[in-house]
Amino acid sequence: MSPAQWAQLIELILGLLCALLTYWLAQRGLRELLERTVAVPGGVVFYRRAFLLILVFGAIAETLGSAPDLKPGAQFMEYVWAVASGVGSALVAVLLTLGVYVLLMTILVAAIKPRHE
Amino acid sequence: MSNSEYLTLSYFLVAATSLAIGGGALLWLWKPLRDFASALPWKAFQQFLVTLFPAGIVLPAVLGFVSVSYYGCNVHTYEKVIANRKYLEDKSLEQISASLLYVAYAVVTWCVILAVIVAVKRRVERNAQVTSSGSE
Repeated sequence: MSPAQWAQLIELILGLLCALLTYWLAQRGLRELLERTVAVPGGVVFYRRAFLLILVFGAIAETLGSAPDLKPGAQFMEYVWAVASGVGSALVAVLLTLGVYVLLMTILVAAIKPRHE
Repeated sequence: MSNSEYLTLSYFLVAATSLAIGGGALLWLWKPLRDFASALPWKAFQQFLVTLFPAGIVLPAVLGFVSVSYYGCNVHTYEKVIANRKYLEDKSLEQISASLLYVAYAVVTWCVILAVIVAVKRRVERNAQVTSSGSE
């Protein structure tokens, strides 16, 4: 593997880690909210799986889409900047997903008064 | 392997990967969607939803794959496309990236559709409760 391909692999791993960490942080609150709001069998599992899928696909797509353009003999810091740029793109995808999901949940809560409240 | 052979091979491999992305997403969401649909009171709509879902996930993956063009600003001919191996590799990655993004958009759309269905179902249930309590 060339150094540029290593840089892209590191981007991919870091982007995936960001997506999984976000899912892990959000999943408990999301599950409780979905159980109160959706309250349809399969619905809660569907929304949780969809959230994970969008986060992971978005992060991978952004890191693959921003392939580092490094010349042979590039300096170490140029690789670091390339990786940072790819991770930045993955973070944008994760934040967009979070934004869309929060918006969707807000509309759901506004449209349906959750049960047990 | 010449660049032309590489292009042919990578194109069909990436096409298969795109189908696998769509199929994987479909398998991941299929059971919860079926459970969700079976909890709906409208039988014909259940069938409609379950029939439409596979197409609504797999077709965006294919659409993402075919949406990437090998021709670009300075690349107008087939000879220029196959001149550079790095360009072909980048295009393959771009196709996989587009497939993933289109599937993600499709899943977001399905989430919105399911949210609308949940809201309608809840409204119907509430109206039924009001009607039954009014008649007592």
